[in-house]
Amino acid sequence: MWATDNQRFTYSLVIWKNSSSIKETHHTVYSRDKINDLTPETTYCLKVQARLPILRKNGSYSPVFCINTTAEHKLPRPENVEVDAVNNNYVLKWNYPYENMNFEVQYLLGFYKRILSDYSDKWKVISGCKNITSKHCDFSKDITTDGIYYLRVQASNGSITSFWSTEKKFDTMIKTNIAPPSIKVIPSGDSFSIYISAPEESEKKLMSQNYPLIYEVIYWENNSNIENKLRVKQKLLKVSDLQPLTTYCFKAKAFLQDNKSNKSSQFSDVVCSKMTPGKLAVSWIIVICIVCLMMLVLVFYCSKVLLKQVKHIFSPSWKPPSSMSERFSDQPLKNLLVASEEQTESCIIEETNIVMLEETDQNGKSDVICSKQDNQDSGNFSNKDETSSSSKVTEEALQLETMPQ
Amino acid sequence: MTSWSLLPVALALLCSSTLCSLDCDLTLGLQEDFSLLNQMSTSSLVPCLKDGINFNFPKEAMDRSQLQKENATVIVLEMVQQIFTLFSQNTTPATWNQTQVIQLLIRLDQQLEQLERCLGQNVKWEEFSLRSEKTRFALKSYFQGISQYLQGKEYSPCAWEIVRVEIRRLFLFMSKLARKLRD
Repeated sequence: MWATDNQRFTYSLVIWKNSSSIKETHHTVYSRDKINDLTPETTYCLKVQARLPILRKNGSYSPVFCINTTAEHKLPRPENVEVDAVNNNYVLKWNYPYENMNFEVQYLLGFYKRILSDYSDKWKVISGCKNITSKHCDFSKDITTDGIYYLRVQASNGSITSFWSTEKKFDTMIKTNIAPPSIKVIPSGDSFSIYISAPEESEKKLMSQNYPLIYEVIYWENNSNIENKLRVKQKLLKVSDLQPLTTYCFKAKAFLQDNKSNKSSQFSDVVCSKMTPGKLAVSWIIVICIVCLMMLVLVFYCSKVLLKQVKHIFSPSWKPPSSMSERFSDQPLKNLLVASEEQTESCIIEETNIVMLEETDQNGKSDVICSKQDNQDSGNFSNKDETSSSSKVTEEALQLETMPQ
Repeated sequence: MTSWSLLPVALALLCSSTLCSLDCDLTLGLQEDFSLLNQMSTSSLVPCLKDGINFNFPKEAMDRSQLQKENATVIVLEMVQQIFTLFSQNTTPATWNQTQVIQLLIRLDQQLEQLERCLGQNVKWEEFSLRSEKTRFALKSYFQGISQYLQGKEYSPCAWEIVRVEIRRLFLFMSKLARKLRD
């Protein structure tokens, strides 16, 4: 029934001394794992429970099994076995109470624990760490693929060999030093949006996904010493309830989520940002801008009208001779009367009274100007002498000349 | 082949807030697995095509489950676990690069642990598991089919070549799934 799941089982072990009732529980135990730190020459009893983590299913406990521990071995096993990452080299370190001992270090590919109940023949010696006298071993050369490995070390004085030390699990994705995260602060409305980037997120090593990090964000007003702390798991957060138009400064550091190691990174760089003005202030600013714009438009319009009046007053007005006025009185005038003879012009009259005028003038004068038709009866147009050359495009309205009767 | 190309299109996955905070990002890992699988054999597939069969990847079950986005990580875990089991039985052809087979096993082991750990932190994932049980069962049947095929062909190099092609597709599928989960 469980054939396809048999690699997914982990076991829970409960163990106690026969003479006492204090029970110790070990979780995530696999077949062939070792239980360490037992008292020698004592009877221990234990029972095991199978678990299927993916389904969070637990089986019943096995029957109780009791066994005696042997007499203490003459040579203790090495203790405090730890892995240190030093300059991209992996070094295994341990303690030993006696001097002048030889040590041997072995490693195991982690996946064997999943597939084999007996992996005792899969341990391999770390090259360069057989019969060494130092209490450390650089095993970088033997670990070439990223993955999970187990390491163990034993001591020997020539004639007697100790038992193997505890098996130290080593995940290559874990570094002992957590690099500081980086933060980006963006003011938005009445709060700040903080974006935290996990430390050293390079192409190959995504450390945070293996041993999840939590982040501590500290912020304060630029001129004060009062610090506010936030501990968050997510990388995007909002900080609100802040004073508008004040500068706030932020910094963050990363923690390993399981606080066993108490490891944290250094703080990131401090990032300061100013709050945007409050919503009320913004709307006021917008209103003021619109009002100013309207006023500008109004001023522009008025000045144009004024200018026109001024021109009207100071420049001569041209009136056609009475003979001509008789002739043309009945016809709606669509052409402009101009001074020069040879001329081609086209005036397009539009309702909006804006006209593009194109003319060629042999006399070098640009003659006709189309001006805006106003409600007054007297439509005037004026000739302007301009020094510019032949074709010219001007933008002014055409004034329909209706000869006063 | 068309059913395969439609699959990623059919998966309109959004990043759910619960799963995003888990950081279960396997995107790069799966891509490297794929390239490792590519390299481990240089034999030609052509003479083996006559041995090819349709393994009936449970497309409908996968599509259905994607509506509940939380299940996707559980499904990836199930698939990686099954692929790991397949390769761990020491039946791969001797002509294959055994170092690379071992490398793949090491990588898959680490990815499994990563997934188990990040899933285990989410309080709700028991729900996800239960909800995805139908899909996981469909996947188990699918992988059992592959296993039986290999057994029937006595783990011949040709049978393994056919299976290698199928598993490469799986990695591509999971890679796309993981990318959608991430984005």
